[in-house]
Amino acid sequence: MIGFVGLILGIIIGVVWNVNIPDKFSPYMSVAILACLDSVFGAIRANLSKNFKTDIFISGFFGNAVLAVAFAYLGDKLGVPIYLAVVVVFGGRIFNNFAIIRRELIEKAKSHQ
Amino acid sequence: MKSSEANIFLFMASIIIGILISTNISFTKSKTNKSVFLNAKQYQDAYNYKNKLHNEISGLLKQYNDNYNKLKKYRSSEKNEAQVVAGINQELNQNNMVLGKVAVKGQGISIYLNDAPINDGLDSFQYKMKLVHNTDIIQVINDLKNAGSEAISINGHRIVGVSEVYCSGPFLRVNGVKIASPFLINAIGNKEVLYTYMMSNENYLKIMMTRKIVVEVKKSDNIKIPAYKGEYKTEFMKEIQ
Repeated sequence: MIGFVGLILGIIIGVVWNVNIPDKFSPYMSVAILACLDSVFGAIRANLSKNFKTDIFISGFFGNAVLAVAFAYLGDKLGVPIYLAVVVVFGGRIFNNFAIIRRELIEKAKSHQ
Repeated sequence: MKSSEANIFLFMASIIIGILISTNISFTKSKTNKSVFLNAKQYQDAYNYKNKLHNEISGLLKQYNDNYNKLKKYRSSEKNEAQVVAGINQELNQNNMVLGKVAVKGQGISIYLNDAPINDGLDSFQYKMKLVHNTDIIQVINDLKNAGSEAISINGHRIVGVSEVYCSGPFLRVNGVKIASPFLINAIGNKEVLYTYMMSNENYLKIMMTRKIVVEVKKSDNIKIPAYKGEYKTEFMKEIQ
């Protein structure tokens, strides 16, 4: 829940702020967003299964984003679409995490009944 | 405790993501025309166009530099007037050559055009198709100009800016002189380029060949083109200061 509230708040801030990212960085930004989303989903999952660790979350949040952008940049320079690897890996992990979150939430709801 | 800490971080992280997403989205929304998706061919075309423009720019820059240097030379060298005069003369010669006031020679091609053999039993349309018309000549001259020829003549009449190719009954009028077929069109320029261009399938000469008109194109290293014998009139035009 808190994640959604934050997301909406962030979007509002971003729209009000209206920062323009230069043309070149646009594709890298999308990869970074994917990496960050993956970290957040991982954090929600860890939170639900009660093994959330702050340091791991923060390092993962920024580290993944930087690595993803670096990969995309390297791929651009080499002429190989490495960003696809980033997209596939993080996309897969987001779905995995979401599946686990779903399961946990449903089990929780069932146990409450 | 643990959970609330996690919630705080989650909250912050999602705010960051929200900001990132919205900046990206607003970016794409505000400048929809900025990024266009092209397929391979469009990209190739755009790339070629870009290169062409770059070439043009570098050519213009070179021209600008030349002119600038010339101007600087004129301004600085009041002493050696002879040099300036020589430069002006050279330029004058070049202008005369371009205007057609002097005879020129060089490599190029010559095109021989003659009416197709006319036999009996042709209707008037077929008969017309067998003749070389002024429009044909104009097309050929246009093609030659397009291929980059520097000087053109028809049957010894230099084609300049004010030349006309006019239908005058069985004759053509060029520079006020009536000429009859066969026509020999000489053009100075890069002979390979001219030849290839004139003999390419899209070219007007091919259409004339299908009309059975006699077309002979020859490359030559020594094409001679006479001077324009008419006058340039400057009765009505004035220079814009």
